[in-house]
Amino acid sequence: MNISQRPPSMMISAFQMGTIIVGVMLSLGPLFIGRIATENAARDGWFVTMAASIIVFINTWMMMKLAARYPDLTVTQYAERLLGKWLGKLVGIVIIALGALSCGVTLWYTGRLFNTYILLMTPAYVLSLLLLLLTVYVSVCGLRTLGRVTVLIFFISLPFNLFFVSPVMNHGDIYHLLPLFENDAGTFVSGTLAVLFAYAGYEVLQTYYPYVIDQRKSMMHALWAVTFVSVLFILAVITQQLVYPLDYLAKIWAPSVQYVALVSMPILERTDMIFILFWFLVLFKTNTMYFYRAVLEIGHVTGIQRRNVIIVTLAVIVYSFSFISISIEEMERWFLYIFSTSVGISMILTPLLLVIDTWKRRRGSA
Amino acid sequence: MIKSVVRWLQSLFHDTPQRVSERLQETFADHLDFVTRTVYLAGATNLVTKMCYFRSLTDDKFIREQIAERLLHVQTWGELQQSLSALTIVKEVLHFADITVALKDGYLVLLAQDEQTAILVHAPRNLSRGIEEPVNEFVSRGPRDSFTEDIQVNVGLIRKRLKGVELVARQYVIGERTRTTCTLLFLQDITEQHLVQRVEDKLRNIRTDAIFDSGQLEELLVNHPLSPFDEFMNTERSDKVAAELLDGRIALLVDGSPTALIGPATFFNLLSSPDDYYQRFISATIHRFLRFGGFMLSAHLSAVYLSLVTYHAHLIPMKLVEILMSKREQVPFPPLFEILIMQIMIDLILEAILRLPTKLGQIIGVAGAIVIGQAAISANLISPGVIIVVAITTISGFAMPRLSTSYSLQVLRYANLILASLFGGYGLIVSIMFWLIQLCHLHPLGKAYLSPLSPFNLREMRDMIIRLPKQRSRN
Repeated sequence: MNISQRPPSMMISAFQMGTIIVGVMLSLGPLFIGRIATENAARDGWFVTMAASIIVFINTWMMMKLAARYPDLTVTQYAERLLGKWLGKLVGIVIIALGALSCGVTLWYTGRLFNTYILLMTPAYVLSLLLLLLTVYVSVCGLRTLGRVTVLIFFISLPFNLFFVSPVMNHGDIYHLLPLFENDAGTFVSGTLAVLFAYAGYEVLQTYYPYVIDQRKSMMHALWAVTFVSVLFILAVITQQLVYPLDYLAKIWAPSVQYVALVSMPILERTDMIFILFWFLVLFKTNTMYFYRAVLEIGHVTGIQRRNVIIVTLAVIVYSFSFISISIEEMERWFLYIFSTSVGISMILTPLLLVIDTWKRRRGSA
Repeated sequence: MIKSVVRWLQSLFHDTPQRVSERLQETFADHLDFVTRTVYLAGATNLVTKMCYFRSLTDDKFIREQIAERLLHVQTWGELQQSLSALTIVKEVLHFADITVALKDGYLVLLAQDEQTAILVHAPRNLSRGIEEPVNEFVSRGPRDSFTEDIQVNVGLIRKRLKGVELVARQYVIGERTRTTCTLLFLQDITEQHLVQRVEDKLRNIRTDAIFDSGQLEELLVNHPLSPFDEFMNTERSDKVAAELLDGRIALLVDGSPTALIGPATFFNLLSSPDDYYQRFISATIHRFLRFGGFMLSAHLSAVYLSLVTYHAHLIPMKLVEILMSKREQVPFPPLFEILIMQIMIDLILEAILRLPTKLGQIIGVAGAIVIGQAAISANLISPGVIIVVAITTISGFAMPRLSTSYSLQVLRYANLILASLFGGYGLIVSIMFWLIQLCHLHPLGKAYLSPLSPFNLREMRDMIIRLPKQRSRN
């Protein structure tokens, strides 16, 4: 469908797209990045995070270049054009599956996170259900509403993002970060690849791009969003490595949450609790973006026009994840696999499609 | 010959005066206030005229002094028509349906035996009260005139403020049975045409039996009838309407209603008061922030208190926990029940005050709030913390410039309370998110409800959240 033919309720601004990217990237990744970076690259953790940021930045730029060549199509649609019908459909199915899996995992995690910290007696699947109901409601409202909600959450959660990067200097020790660059190149590369999981989510822009009203500004907004998140991640790793001894940091679950507890506020006893409560907003945003991405792509791949039918069906599928009874460590492994695969596919698919498109254009067959 | 053929043809499509007169007497036989009189024009004994009107709707004195006087001096039907047109609105019709509608609009109907048309003379009895001070939108500084039940007076009050020719007033008749006149007002050079078109389409598509007040019209015009948030502002102040028209909005007046509708409303409009623009800009800005704070407090404070006391006591500093818990020890009810009892009681008192005369209402207010509250604490039925929280919540709610916003807050408050009682802070955040999504989804008459915050517009934001000095703002 041409941009001008899309109903206004399905259009977002470039700024809203930027906040969507921030919202999806800032989900579960920042809770764990300090530990994963330290586990894989020890005191060079902040450096591998920086390297991962540069890779993601370049990949985002490539995605936007490719998307600009197909302003009316989402990734599954132009993948079909460039790779052929069946291979394109396969790419579409993989993207949908990853979206649904990411959404399911976020639901599971949200339920478990709140069940562990806030509501010990309420079953996690009930807490997940509340999040899912909100997701379904906003999805039914349409992309315009979704874009507006994202902007609001971006502004509301801004101070809470700063919570987990604010330096707690009385706890810090600069020698945790020294000496610099003690790892070999192999460790550096594997550390960079391991950290990439935290950046999962920026690839949703391939789906949302055709719905942007002012597409000429999208590149700028996509890049500031990725830069914003990258800076937060790098600062989070640095501050956590400053505060915690490396051996300890490499072992603890969700170091960011523990780190926030150190930030003292005059009227609050437990800063981490408030942080977790507000982190719900971020998790909701991530969950919704993955969910809605899957909904849009299912519509494109299958040709189903009735979006509400897709929403309800997908909601039932992703909710079934909430009943999986595995340990938090095991789920964490799963979530690392899914998010890493998601980033990995984008890293491979985007340059590949860009090369094919350029080649086809030169041959004049695109 | 030709004249008689024309008359015969006309009689096929029109009712004859004789038939109309008979049917009127038949139709209104049971209406005690319906009057029919036979009058002879002066010097023309053969020109019998029937005079019909409703005594309750038509001005008796005007008929006696002006019309009867003229009937005695004119010789022919044409002369009578000419003489009356100099006095008031005169229409010529001869359809039974038109005549019955006119009678109910306060017209006097004159029917002559040999004439094909009836003369309708506009002579309505004055059934409206005079212009008074606004009851629900009191301002400390600014004009004190408010709308009445007479739509013409209301249009006049607005025209008095906007004297330019750009002010357009279009009329619509709504309600199959009430035939209520509604007026759509807008400024031709400022209001966007698509907005006017949208409202006109909606007005034309209304199918209802009766409209008595602008509140009913509002309900028929909104896109989301289930939402507690107002999609139209309502006001009883003509200066407010004039200011909003200058801002590119439309206004709707309903005959018989002293409240105008202004659309499209946004969330921030609901928090702004007319006297913001009559005060110094700094104090007006402070008042706006206070109102916004009041909105947040009123919607969330009791839910926050409930979730803290029930689920997250460890978040509160120890000293405060000790104070709160020591007072709660003797209370036999769970916190939710405690808050609900108090909140419902206060809402009941407020409802009673609204229905009672002012002086009696004040007494009930004082007796209700102080005596019952004090007694409840002494009897250990309710803890002092709850009394403080509920009182702050209620007072903050009534700091809103319009009563309808306070009622919307009531819905939010109860919904937040229920979710907070079930899931603590998590439930409260879910509830807040739900309302936030709804606010983002509302799109009254094509305008985003949360604008200029979302979609973000810094230019509009300057005069929405803070109040700019007059030199820097447009209006």
